[in-house]
Amino acid sequence: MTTFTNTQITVDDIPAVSSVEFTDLHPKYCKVNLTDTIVWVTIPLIPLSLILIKGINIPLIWVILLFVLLVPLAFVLSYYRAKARRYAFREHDILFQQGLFWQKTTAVAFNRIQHIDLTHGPLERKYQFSSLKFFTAGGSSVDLKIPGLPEDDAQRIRALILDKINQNPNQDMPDQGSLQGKEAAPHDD
Amino acid sequence: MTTDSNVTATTEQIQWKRLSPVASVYYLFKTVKAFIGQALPSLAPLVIVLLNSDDKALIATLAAVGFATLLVVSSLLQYWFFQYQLGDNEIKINQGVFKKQHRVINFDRIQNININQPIYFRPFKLVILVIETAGSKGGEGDLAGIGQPMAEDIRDQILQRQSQIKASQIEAGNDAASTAASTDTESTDEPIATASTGDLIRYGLSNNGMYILLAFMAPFFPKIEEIINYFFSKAELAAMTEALGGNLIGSIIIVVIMIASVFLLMMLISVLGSILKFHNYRLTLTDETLKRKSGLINTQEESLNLSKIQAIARQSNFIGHWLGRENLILRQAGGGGNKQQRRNNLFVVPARIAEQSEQLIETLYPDHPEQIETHPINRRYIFKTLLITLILPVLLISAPFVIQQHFWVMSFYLLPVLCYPLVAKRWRNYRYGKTDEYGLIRSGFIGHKQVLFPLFKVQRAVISQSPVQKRRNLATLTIYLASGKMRIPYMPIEHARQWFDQIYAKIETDSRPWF
Repeated sequence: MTTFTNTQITVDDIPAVSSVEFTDLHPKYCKVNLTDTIVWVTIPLIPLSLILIKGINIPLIWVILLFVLLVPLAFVLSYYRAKARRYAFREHDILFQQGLFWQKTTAVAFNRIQHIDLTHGPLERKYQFSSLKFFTAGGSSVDLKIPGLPEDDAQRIRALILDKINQNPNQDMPDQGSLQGKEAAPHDD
Repeated sequence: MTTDSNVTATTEQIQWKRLSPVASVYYLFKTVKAFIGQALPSLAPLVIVLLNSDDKALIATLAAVGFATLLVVSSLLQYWFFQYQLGDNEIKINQGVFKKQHRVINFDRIQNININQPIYFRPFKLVILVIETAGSKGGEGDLAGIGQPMAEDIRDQILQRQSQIKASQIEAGNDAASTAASTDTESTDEPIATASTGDLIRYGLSNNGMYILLAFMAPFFPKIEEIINYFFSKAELAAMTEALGGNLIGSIIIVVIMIASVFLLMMLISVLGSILKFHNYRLTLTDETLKRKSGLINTQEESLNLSKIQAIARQSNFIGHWLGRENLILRQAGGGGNKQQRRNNLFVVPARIAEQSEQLIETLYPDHPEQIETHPINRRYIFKTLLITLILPVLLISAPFVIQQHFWVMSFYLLPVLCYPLVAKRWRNYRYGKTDEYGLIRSGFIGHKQVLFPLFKVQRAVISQSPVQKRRNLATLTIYLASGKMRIPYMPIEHARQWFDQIYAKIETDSRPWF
């Protein structure tokens, strides 16, 4: 164990989130993510259009137009949404950024991690991608999720972080059973 | 397994102990409660059998006697099969009549340890030692029916063991910062807070729990006419309307009176509840442990280690505001999202005047700064709140009416204008500030709420920006503590980043345990 240092830091010395260089997700993942869009946009549209045609008597042409407009839009949006997801590892935490229009930045400090899940849905498994989910005590669901990590990378990152957590003598905290995440969902959000 | 409580096992084993036989009364109540909650609806067929039979009286008596016997036998069995054993580091519990349960609770896993005394235990000087772990749903670790001195012994032993563990953790880590938090705490048995009955009445009035009840009753409001008709006959009602000025005005007055009396009734319930729970309130601080003792019928003793406080909130609604009182709420880590559980994790100090609150916070957070400079949030918060909560819904709902040329609906467009002062007040009250160690968030519009938390207790922070916020260089910061989340909306992005950076620098360098 290294000796503990706690030198005073002035505001300028605090590492700033604005100067972090983020890593994009794997380019291939953005495409895998598109397959997801088929499931989440196209399939729900089918019963909806049936209702529109049979139920409310909306002319077929309008429904087709709806498809022609919505589906490509959904694809484009979801591609860029996946592209906008970025992560970064620092010495003491992981940062994650997401959102095309509504942007979000969060971080999980290694010494606040309660547990880590490594999951892969059927699609991810096919392309050998994994998602890493990090849980802290501040909330009942996933606190930070990095999707689309190549299987090997995900394993390595997890081992590395677990190693870091175990190095810290103060991590002797009760595992909060009630904070266990739900079973891995078979798909991305 | 030995069966007699007095038999000492071999020297290696510590003996298994039984609760006092009076504990079967506790189990009786518990079984009855569970029975009412779960089994009652399934008894409907039995009632039908009963009603269709010829000898109603006989069968009813038989059924009643049968149930009573069943309940008594089951509680006696539950008492008989409950055994516990106290080790140096853990407590072992064996229970269950048919489904055996063997539980080992490690002292360092215990989150809360309380001592309750139901009124039926009082003559026997017995208590319930309630042991809560982070994952427990309640009741699994209760030692119901042990002597009060013994319960206090066990509690002190567990707390002592916990602080030993904590001390060794702190020693291994950052002692410069931790001493500040642990030195100045007094250790006397003098209460650091008490509450008179007058205070409790004020607490009952200023406690928001009442409004939760009100929301609960909201579905009944449209039926208010039926309810009135239920209580009064048509003729009586007509007479009353007449007496109050006749026709429409009379009816309106009756409805207003009804609503007012419901309101008063709820206040009364709230006040009674407050007295029931907090009668003879005494808060003491020994070493690092806060103890709250109170209760009119059932005495409760609740203890809380100072290091487990995640945040301290001072809050008050408009009645409290008017009475010059506020309630101090010590927030603890809440397991999961269960609302009920969350509420149980609140440690309330009722009815403080401002100086008392400050003094108490001073005792709990000795190193906290007296003044924290606060900043307002951006004014656009008003517009956004009005837009999302009023303007858009009103426009959407009214659109079909306006299309059908019911223009009177447009009078609802005045609603956002009328609500403007309220939202503006909320905006004005929303302030935030931080020092090197603490964060402070203020909010509220007809009441007030002020949450103070040590930055190192934070679990996670999120900066989020909507497109509009982005254009104006604004952001919303969400801070997650183990006790729940807090938001600072519409703050300048530089401030959000400063908070974010400082929080993470703090939690990554400060080795004091958050739990």
